[in-house]
Amino acid sequence: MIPRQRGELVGDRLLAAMLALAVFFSLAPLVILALFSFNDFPYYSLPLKGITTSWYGDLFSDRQIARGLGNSLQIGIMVAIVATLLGTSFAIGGARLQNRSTRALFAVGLLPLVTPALVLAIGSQILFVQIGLPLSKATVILAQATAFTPFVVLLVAARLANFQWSLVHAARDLGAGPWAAFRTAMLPAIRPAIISGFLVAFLMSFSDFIIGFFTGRGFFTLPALIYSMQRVGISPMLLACATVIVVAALIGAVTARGVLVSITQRRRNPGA
Amino acid sequence: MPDPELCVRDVSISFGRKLAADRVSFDVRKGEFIAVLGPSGSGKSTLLRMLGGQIEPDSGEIKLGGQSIVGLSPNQIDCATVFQDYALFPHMSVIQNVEFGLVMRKWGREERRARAMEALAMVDMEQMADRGIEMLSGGEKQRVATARALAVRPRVLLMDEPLSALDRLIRLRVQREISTLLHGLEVTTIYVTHDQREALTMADRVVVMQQGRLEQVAPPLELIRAPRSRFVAEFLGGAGNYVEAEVVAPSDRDGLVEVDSPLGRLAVRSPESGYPAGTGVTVHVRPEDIVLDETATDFEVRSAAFTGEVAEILVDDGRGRTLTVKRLGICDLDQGRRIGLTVAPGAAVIIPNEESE
Repeated sequence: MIPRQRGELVGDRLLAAMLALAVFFSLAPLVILALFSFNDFPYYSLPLKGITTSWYGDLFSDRQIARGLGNSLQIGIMVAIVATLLGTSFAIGGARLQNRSTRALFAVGLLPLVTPALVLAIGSQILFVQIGLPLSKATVILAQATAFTPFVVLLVAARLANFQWSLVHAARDLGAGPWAAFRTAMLPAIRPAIISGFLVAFLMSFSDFIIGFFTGRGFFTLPALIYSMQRVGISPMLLACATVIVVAALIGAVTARGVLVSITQRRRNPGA
Repeated sequence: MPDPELCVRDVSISFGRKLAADRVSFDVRKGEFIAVLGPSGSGKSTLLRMLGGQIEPDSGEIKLGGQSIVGLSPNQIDCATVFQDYALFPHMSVIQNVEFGLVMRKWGREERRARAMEALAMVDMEQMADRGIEMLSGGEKQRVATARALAVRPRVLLMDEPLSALDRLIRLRVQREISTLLHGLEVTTIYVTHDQREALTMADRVVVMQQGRLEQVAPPLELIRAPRSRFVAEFLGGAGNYVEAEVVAPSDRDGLVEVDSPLGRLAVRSPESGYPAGTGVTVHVRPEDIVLDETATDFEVRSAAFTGEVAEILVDDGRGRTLTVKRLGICDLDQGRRIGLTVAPGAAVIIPNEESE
């Protein structure tokens, strides 16, 4: 711990107040959501009329929701795989670039980061239609992978920035081929970033509405389904759905953190 | 004479406009310890990387045990490198690091364990076999890196400034250990360094490089006694005295050349013969080879400083030329005192003129 000192830039009380506000504003919607998902009344007004789990019952027996969730998971996993493979290769290649023109090319590859999703979505749709690619799950995967790969690139590149390249040279020097050198010397160092990249790409795909909406036809992802359902009023079933997703995400995040921590600890302490 | 273990012929490489190796040629015999010495940017590390296969020369030939290695990738070349930053795998234990080369060679578990322990024993690290890398001190890491390279029994061991990351006191100890170990094992070694003391004390022969060019290849004593260029003399001797002189008599009975210099008439050595009388030459006089003569009065003492082991005395000849003299122990000469200087026959040496090449 850093010892407390007098005359710091901002007072501790002010910092605490700002933290409390930030926590309140990020948690409040989720709490409200969870609260009304248990309300025994289809409209939203306090106080609650009674406690029920019937909305959850509706949710878990809803075939449409199940299908939407299936589509979202399927697309999300595919996008995460493609974006992780592409993004990791891109970051490793980029880390080796020396001259200015190839570095510029690298920056162009990161352009989707600063492009509004809507622009990417419309652009992708026009592209697919022009080259005669029928809009399907495959086109959604393609478009989303393009949009989310740069996040993987940034995560892996940050990790590579202080990578000791002599490790790769040492592995090659001791008889490893290119692939074995990557696996033994580089992968252990960047694995946490690759795993984070995979999770980020998955989550972005899972919560994406716009790209899926424009580049897919004939099926609903979960966000698209929820969007279409809320046009006739937000049923508490959707709140139940949102609550389940938040809880799942929370469990996922905690597990992922545990995995990452155990990887870093194994790195520090190989003998144990 | 048997074929050299390593044969470097006319090897050149440039990075952009900078020539990092300029027609470098030399041979290494089996079991020989070669130091490649030069200032930073002299191309010595580049040379090492070409030997290890990390980079390919633009032109020239490198033969290891009679086979060309140009164009081969590092894993196909029977050299092993000790890297400047050791490059130990941080996610592996000490023994796993040392076993790495053997794992890549698909050795069985028992054999590679035995060989790795043997290599660790050489550097006195067996008891640390199961430690993690991050728990080791700098000197211990250095030893593990050496063991890892030796475990694969390479034809040639390449060492890239292996001691530069260590503290001065540890460095001297590790230097002695490495020297004893490698000379004992008779491993053919190429040892890159910018420290002339390391090169001179460890190597059988020293390759001196500057700006990608090979200045001289010679045993340590010869480098000091007969430097082929002013660069070699300066880099190895530190602050020497370089005086302009004129040849009086080309070569006497002992093969010494007689010259007229600011230090008077001197009999000096010369790596090249055939200087006619009247030729202007540069003579290198090492500060420790100048003897003070307290009975003469040709020079004036400007300063005398005790630097720890030796006294360094600056002497003026009254015509704007300053000479450095070194003498063991404390020196109590006062500033302004008149004094004479003498140089023993054969102590000074003519530096060949680079322009004449």
